[in-house]
Amino acid sequence: MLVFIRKLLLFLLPFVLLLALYAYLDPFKVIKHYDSYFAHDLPNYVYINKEHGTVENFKARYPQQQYDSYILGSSRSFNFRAADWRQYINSDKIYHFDASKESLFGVAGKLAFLQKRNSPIKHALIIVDATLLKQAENEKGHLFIKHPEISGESAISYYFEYVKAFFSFNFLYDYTIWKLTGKAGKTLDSKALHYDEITNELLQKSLEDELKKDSVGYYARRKNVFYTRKNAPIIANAVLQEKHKALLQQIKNILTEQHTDYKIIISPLYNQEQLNPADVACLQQIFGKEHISDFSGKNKITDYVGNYYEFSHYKPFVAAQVMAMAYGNGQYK
Amino acid sequence: MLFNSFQFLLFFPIVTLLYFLLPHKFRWLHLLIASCVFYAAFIPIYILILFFTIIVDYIAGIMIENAEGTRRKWFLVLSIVVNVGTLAIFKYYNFFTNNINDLLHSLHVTTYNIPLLQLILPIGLSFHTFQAMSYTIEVYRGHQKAERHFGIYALYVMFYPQLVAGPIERPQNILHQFHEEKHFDYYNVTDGLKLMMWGMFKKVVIADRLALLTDPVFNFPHQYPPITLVLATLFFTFQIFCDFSGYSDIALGSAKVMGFTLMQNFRSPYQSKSISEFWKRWHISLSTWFRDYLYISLGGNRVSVPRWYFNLFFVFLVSGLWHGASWTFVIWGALHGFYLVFAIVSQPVRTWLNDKSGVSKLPWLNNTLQVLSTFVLAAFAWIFFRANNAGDAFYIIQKLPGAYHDLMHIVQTHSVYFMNIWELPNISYDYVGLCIGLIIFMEAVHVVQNKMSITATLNKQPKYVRWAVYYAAVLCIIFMGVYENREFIYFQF
Repeated sequence: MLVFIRKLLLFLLPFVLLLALYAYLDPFKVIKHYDSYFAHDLPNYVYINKEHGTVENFKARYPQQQYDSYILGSSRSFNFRAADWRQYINSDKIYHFDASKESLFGVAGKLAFLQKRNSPIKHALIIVDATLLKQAENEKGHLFIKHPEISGESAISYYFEYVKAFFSFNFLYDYTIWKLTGKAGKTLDSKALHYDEITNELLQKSLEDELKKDSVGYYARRKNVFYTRKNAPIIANAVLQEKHKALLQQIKNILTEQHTDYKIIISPLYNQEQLNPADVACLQQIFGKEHISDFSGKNKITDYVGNYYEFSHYKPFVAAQVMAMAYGNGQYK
Repeated sequence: MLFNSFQFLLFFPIVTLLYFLLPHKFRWLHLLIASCVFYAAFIPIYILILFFTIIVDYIAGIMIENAEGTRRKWFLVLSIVVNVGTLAIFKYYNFFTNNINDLLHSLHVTTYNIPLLQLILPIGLSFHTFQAMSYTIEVYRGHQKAERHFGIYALYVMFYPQLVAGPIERPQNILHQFHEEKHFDYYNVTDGLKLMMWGMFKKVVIADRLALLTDPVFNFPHQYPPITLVLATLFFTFQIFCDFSGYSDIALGSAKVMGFTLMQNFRSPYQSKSISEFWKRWHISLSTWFRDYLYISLGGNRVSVPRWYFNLFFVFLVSGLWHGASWTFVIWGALHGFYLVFAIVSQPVRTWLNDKSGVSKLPWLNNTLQVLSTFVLAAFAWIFFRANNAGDAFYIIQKLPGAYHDLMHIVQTHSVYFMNIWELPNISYDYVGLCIGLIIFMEAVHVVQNKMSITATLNKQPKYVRWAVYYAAVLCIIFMGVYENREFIYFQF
């Protein structure tokens, strides 16, 4: 048996060394703690799990910042700027408690996380759409999986996702080439982002620079991205089932217990799909009509292509407009 | 826990190392605890169902052996009723109830709905209930002495390598192995690890890669043209083989590392020359179970011809139902039953055709045609196995002839864009080429394996050759594996 174990250890040595290299390099920024999980006005190159950065950054800064107001949602919520929201709430302790490809599961998990830590939730702005509402389980894959403190699931499985991602051939190849030559391959991100560690805001610097330089060319180069929409209104399929309603009720209970002043905004997406009336009715029933602002479907915001960076994300000024209406008159049709 | 999970990567070496470090008298307990941990990683509370059936069958086995006359039969019936009853409640109750409700409503007998049960199917239920029934039946038949050691009997049912997806072992094969003292054997360990590696390769490199295309196509068949439906069917044919045989290889390999020999469950089934041969090569533990405990009990082929045909058809109908509580599985089983009966009935005509056409004089052509036709029949039946419902299955079948026109279109226009798969995540020309290459590689390994033992040949090579092969295999598994926590297909049974 000892001979076998010796041979096995020798055989495994290269893999152990690779694992050690992974731990040393920590490309996804999950092993060590960082002052900033995103580069300032520069590309990150390696895609970071926004959820991970959001949670770890929050834990590190909360003692000093004492956040009490949160913007929650997917990457579509990124452009709801703290500076714009400030004028509607009497707090400037705002934190973007968001994640890429956020889900209902994630939103509920984050609010539960805050409650468990006895962090007051005075104000909440929750940006939803059908995609977010539909997902009632944890995501898979290193980019979107929920932080174990949010999901309550195995930390070992969580960190193993990153090990798997590191050992994927395409990533390891592109990463090695980038480290050696500075050239970023397909699996790396060369778009610059603007990041604020205090509010955890992440904004599209590269795209904004491109628009400022040549807005006509920007849209001309993206003709295939901005597909032609149908004239007739589209109603999305209903997504809220019992498990979703349970999560929504959980969110409501936390917000009620915390006496939170909150708004739920249904995003005005480029696809012009109106959130199913049954789902809207469900949200209104659980949270109250006064808390729900529905900007989905075909309207002046979604009609105008210039409101979008691409088919998935609207710009900060649209988010500001939507916020103004939500805190002012409500619906925009 | 899944074999292709990080938890198993930790679980297996720890359990194996402790197994060899412990004295023999404690090993059964160690393996039993490990098997409980393995099973409880799914839904912990369901281990109680397992314990319940284990207790019933343990007692039944002893009572059968001690009793005389008809009392022996009653204890056997009790065991079978408990096992089949457990299976019926968890797996089939809702299926039959839904169908009864639909029938009563359609006949306007009543608008009342017989209530359904909100139960999740305990993982591996179909496998371990059959293994448990195998025990009491063999004790009843006098082929196996009742196991008096409760822990050893519990381990027979719960042995983790084969607990959740087989192979469905016979007590004569495995019970005595739990009593025997196993010693660390270098070649058992290395051969077992090689088998596990091969199984993992088939699962994560081939099966889960093929699923990237088969899942979206079978989930939304109406969105794809006929040629894509054919491609998905062919891919699924190999996906299910790699998934299931990969699991079996990992099960056999992990048992072998500890010195246990489990029965072989697959033997290059797609090289079969008939459906009858296919079932001697595919899921061998299940097909032999049905042969020995149902088919022969019904009389087998020692009955009138019509009754023989009925026995064959019925056994496969039940086999289909065993796989799942859904009409698609029933149709799949019935189709195989039909294939077998038709093969027998048409044998004289086919022999005459072969002789008349001269094919019988060309063994290589004859064999090739037989293998191809068996493959096509099996692949066709898999449509029902994989489709989400009977409607989708019939839709796919109805579209199949259109694949010829799609193929002609591709030949004429050199364009495959219309296949509608290129927008799917991870699907590209390289992907399709890689999948085909992997399937060819795997079948080539099977062909070579039929002629000689690859493991034995490898063991004779110099160390640097062997290690190069091992590193290549591990690197393929790491870098080419598709890791999306995909369950093994047969876990749903």
